[in-house]
Amino acid sequence: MMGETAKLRIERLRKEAVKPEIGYGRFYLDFYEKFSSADPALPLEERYAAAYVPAFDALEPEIGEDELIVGRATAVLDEADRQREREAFEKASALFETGGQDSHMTVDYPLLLREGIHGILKRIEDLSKDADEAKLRFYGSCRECLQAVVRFSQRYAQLAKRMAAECEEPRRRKDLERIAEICARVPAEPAASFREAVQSVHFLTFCLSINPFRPTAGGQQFQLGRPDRYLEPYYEADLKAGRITADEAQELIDCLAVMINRRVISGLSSGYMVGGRDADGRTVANDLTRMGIRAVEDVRLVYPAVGLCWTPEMPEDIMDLACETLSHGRSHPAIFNDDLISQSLREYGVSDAESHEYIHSTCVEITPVAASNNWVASPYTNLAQLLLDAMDREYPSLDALTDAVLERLAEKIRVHFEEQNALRLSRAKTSVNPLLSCFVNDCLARGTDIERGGARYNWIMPSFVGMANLIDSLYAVGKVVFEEKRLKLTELRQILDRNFEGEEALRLRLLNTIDKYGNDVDEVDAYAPRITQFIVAECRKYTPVFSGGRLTPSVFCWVMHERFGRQTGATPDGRPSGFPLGDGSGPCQGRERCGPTASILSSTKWSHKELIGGVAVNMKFAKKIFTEDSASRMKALIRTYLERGGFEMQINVVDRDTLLEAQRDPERYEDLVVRIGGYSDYFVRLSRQMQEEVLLRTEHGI
Amino acid sequence: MASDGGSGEWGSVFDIQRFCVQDGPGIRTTVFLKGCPLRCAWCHNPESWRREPQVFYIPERCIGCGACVSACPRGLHGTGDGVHRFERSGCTGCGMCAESCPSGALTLCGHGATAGEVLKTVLRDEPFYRSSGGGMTVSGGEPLMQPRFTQALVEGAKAAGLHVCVETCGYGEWKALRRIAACTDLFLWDFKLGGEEDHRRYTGVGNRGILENLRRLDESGIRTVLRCPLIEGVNLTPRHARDIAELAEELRNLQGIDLEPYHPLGESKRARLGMEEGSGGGKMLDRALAEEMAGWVRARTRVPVTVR
Repeated sequence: MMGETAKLRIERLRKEAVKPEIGYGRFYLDFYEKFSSADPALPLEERYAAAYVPAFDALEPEIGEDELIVGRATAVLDEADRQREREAFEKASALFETGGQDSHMTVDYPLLLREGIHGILKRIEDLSKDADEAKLRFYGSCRECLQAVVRFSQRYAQLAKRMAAECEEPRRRKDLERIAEICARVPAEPAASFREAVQSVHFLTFCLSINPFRPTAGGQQFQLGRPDRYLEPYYEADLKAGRITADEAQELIDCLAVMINRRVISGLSSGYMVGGRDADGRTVANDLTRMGIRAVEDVRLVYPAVGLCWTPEMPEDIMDLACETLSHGRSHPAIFNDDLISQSLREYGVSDAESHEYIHSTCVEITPVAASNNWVASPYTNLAQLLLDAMDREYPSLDALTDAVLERLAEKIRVHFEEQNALRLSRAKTSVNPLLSCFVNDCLARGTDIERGGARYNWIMPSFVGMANLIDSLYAVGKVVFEEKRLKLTELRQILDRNFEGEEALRLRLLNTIDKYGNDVDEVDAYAPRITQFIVAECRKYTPVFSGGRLTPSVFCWVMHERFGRQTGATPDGRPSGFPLGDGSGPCQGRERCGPTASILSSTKWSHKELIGGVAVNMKFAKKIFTEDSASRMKALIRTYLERGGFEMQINVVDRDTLLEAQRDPERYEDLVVRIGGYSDYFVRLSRQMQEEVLLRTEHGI
Repeated sequence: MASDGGSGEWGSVFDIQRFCVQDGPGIRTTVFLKGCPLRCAWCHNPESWRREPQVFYIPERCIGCGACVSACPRGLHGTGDGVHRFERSGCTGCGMCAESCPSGALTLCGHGATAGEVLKTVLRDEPFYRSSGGGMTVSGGEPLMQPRFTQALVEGAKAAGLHVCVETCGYGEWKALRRIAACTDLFLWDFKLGGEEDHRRYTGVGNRGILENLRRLDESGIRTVLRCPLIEGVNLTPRHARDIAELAEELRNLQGIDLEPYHPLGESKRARLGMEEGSGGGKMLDRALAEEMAGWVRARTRVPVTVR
């Protein structure tokens, strides 16, 4: 537990970071103008560095009140300059590929901490000795960007020194002096203390987030990897030597966590993972593992998105800490199945040692740490739409319809793959990212920029949205069209096209009286393995460019269930036009009528392992479940899910807001059960008056 | 003796609720039996009183499609002047209207099932029982009102290696209770009121037989937890607290006392069944009052007391 001063500091820091401005001043404007006007005959690396370095050198350092870990940018342009920036981007983006994925990875922090930027520059010097022209150009651009980063940290050191001299409050003056010392050393030099390590990691990640070839929002989703591994030696050394206390370390971890919110705009995702196994197979469960989880509650902001990599040997107190944090409604840590995921990585060609150190890449998309240029969520495919498209004719059987849908899916996979592959090649011709390349293996060793395939792994990871809707819809069509023969398929399609106009009874029948995925009904659930196995098998057919290229599928949605939902007409599962598709790979919202055990059984009747691109299962529970002796039941539920091969679980708490939503939109909350001992009922069936009673006392165990 | 018709034993059920965490240890599935000899003024499961299936009707959900009008063999549904009227007094609970209703305005509460069918559903969650030390709970309604069915359920669950709880008010034949107890790990036993007259007044039956059953059960070494509903104006008194504590001190195998503060959510179900309003008060019991009661009980017994 942290001391009072530390707690107050973190409180102040987090309040300031609730809705922070993020702006890099004229960086982008200057870069685009310079880049556009550069001589096109010059090599790309030179044009890039010539635009990047001066713009980077013009970045102003900023140190906020109370900050211990520094590196942020709040210089938002005024409207006039923003317009100029937009125009400059228009012009410049004609010269480079703006499509494709970025960030969604963790870089080689151990390299940074061990060698410092100066160490890496030395490496580059050595590598340059035997390098051909192309490599020399690459190394030259790396050198320039690295040096710019060092100069930036020096500007921070100078600012801190100035601020210290002007500071009248002795404690804060001391802080600033320390900051000045640290920024003078890292990230240029190897880290010599825990605090230097934290500062170095944050500062590099902050610099990496400023990527001119990606529109501001995109380039920021760098993840902090496994802090309970790379920071551990520094922590242990300082602790032993009496240079740091556990409280101080927690405070610094919290600062690191707060600063994520200052470098990533809301609506995206950034964080880190803890736990899992090390290269020797031992479960990682140390003080920093615990601190990483505690930071979620200490910071209480949108980020960090924390993943806990569960093994059967994970200590009880860590699971308890996770459950307690979840009970406060944080949605993190999400729980990941370490052994399943490591196994999957190995099957996709990742080495043994690397298979133990992966990152969730923002939410659930798994990439190996320090060596990945995998493009996650590239692209999203709307599964529900494929069924609608196939409903333009009659079929002899449900099987024939299903086959037709899968055929269309195969074609979509092929087309999307070719698009992504083409984007890769286009990026290789027109983009570079030398700074990032220095920290992703094996770019430096190969003398090849990351955009040109220098990284060890270059997967493309398509994601398939709306699986539950496809399952439910196929099953519903099977019932009403093929079994009951109530109407023809094309007639149903026409009704869907009219968004069930005049056919509300049919819509409700489809929605309410036909079994749905997520209720442990084998007949419906059987479509899940059929669809996912098909996707996995199809993806195996393709090999993207660059080394270690694989097409690795996922079934998570981010916000695409809402976006696609808006574009998708009414579906045979009773979903009205424009409504969201199911999120994640569990049942659609509102259709989980038999509770979480049935839902978990349904969600684990298909293999999650091959979907290394990410599987997200979202579950909702009453706060009461997490507390007292109920916590053991929560843990048992999670454990059973993982033992059955569950990939990931994101746990949300049913709170007052959920109940209010359920009042407004009961159809999506049909499955919300009021759980009181010996009692049986659903929230949305209660009278308004009784719903109000429940709202008043949300602790009363729903 | 379990007859070989054990799994074929037929009973009336109104819900099989999975992932129950408040009806015994671990993660459980609770089987709610339909039919109860008591008529407690504060009952939160009024659909459990009558054994036969009943129609739940939620007027707000009706979309006026008229499917029920043609479905009902006795013509009890009508949609004259755009308003759906349901003539409940002639209803036999056949469920044809509920079957035809797409919106859930009409649902049938209660169905017949064999013990084997029920156990099949219960056993689906075995992985969760194993990992959490959970199992099956038989509740209701009143399990003792369907003793052979309950016996078949608990015997079947035990044969499958499950932990078994039975929630009961204790009103029934000792012989039947003893047979059920042979396969039950824990009884959740209602203790509503101490005095015989009071008990009859508020529940419709006296409690002498109930207490005798409880004592005999305890003597046979069976574990119990007392379930004590707290109703303002009825039993929220130091006198009742003393009765609870004295009973607790008497029993050698009592594991705990659960105080259950009244909640009015059953009122919704009464409305849906076309029943009159209950007399529990209509508001959730103030937690502070429940805690006060707990204090009185704790002052007089070492048995652990929990306010639910």
